[in-house]
Amino acid sequence: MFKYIVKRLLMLIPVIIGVTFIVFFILNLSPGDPAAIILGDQATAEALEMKREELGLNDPLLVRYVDYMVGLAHGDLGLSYRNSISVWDQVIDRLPNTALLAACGILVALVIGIPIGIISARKQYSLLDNISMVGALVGVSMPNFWSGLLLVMIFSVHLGWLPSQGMGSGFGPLVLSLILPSVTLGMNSAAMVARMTRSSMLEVIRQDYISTARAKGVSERVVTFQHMLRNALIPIITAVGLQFGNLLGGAMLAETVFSWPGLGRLMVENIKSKDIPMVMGCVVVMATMFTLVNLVVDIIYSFVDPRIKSQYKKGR
Amino acid sequence: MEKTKTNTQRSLWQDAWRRFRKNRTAMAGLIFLCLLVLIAVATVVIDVVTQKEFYNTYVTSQNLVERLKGPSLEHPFGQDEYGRDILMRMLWGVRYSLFMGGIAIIFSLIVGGALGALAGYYGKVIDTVLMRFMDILLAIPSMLLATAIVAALGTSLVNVLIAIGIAYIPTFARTVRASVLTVKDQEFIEAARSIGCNDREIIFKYIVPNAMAPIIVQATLGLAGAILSIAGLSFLGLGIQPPTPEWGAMLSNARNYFRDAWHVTVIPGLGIMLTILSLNLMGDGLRDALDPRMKN
Repeated sequence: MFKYIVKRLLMLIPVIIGVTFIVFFILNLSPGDPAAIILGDQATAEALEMKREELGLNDPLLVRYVDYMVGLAHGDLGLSYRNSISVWDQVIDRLPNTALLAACGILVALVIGIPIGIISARKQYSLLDNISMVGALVGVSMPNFWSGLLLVMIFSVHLGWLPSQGMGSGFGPLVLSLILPSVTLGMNSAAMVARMTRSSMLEVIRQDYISTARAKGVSERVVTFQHMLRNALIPIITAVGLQFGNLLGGAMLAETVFSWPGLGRLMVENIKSKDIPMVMGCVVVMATMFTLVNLVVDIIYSFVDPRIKSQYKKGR
Repeated sequence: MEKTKTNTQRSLWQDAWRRFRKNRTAMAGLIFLCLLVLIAVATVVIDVVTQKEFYNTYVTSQNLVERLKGPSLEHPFGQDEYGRDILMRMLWGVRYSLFMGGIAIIFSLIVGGALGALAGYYGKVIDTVLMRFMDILLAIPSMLLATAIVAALGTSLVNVLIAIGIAYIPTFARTVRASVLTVKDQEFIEAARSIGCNDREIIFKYIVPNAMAPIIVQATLGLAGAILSIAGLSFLGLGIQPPTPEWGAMLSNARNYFRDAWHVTVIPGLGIMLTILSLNLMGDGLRDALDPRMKN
């Protein structure tokens, strides 16, 4: 098992190199001279040239990429074009906020999605099933920036129960300020998870071993959770892992709606001011997060399904 | 006897259409979508015929006295922060979501499909290289990738199209590759080769038509994703810019006024949601219709 994890961690390296290369390449297509962005319109040609040399912009793209990667290995993502502060510091500063929001979003997705999926599957074609599945379809189709605005309208403006913006400091205010953004972020995923849980449970529900379990007098609760859900879990976990990517993309929107001080908002703000190193740093960190989550999902598989684990024990 | 004869002569597509027609929710999705296409075409035709005169008098004309006024008989969807009629703006906004989403998806379908077919058909080195590259692209969430591309190229209609088109290439490459792989080792391909068909004929005449079902489903769902991404980018201020009546951009504007007027927020979002919903319904229906084994 340990070997497997180490092997998977090593396999991450080429993926991260590939991701950074693509992002680096794309962002360097950007028209416009960074030196001119930093120094403003008034700068003389000599000053611009000096700045370009200082930033290493006169080097070929590949050289700059290697420089960037060497920096990255040392925890250095370059300096912001706008105010010359370290990108790494900024990104690391915002990272926990986005991670927290994403984790709560996933939590919302699981807590809402899985029970609804289980109930729908157990009572297939009942009124409850129909209502939940229509609800799930609507939930999948709602753009999260819109549902966020609606939630703010209802719970902040009309009812005044929850804060509409920012991140509270201290435990109580933090939890209160987390509720609306995480529901917003998790809602689409909850709907997706509910649909996945239902169809995955339905595949299991008519298996012979379920009848066997019932016949030998296992309680309905144990049948549902131990026999059905356990076997239906793999596709659900896959779906949740993939949802995490959508969640990170959605975080940009949710963070903008709620002025949440996370990576997504940092990225959007800096796109507008054309601060390429900042944007680059945000994308690299978020993509790395996504790859790490996929790794965790792969490891969870082997805990959920012992058959997968045994594959890695054989002959090794 | 005669009935069974006609039954056997029905093609796969006629069969699928019969199944699709029976699916009421999927049909509702299809009808709503046809309606949207009709609106988009009609508004473009009106623009061309009246040389934007109608657009200027009814869609962009401001009426500051009646700003943020709620729905009324004269303006069923109410008026926005400049007193513009929201119904008109919604109708004129259909084309951005639908046509731009459509163009972006067709682009990624063609490029991704070609790459996926190459990888699946020739296998070996081409497959490994192409699919590793796609895996890396897939490691960047599509919305993030699209945003990065827009960040580099700048915000314009064409750049948004390029960004979203590229972001969806890997999904199609994977789908097409998977379906090519299931088809390519079957006997009729060998038969085609033995009667002297070349690779191009085999790919386009035999493999592509047989691999079509999952691609159509993926394209429908991809279109929903693309429309959401366009609206999302515009909402962030990185896509289509106001005063263009794009739904995401309208929502972005509405953020400043939703404390005073509910309709400026509710209506554009409802438009986006219904569009995505109908595409999802259609996608589900198509999947059931094209692959009856999938239906439980």
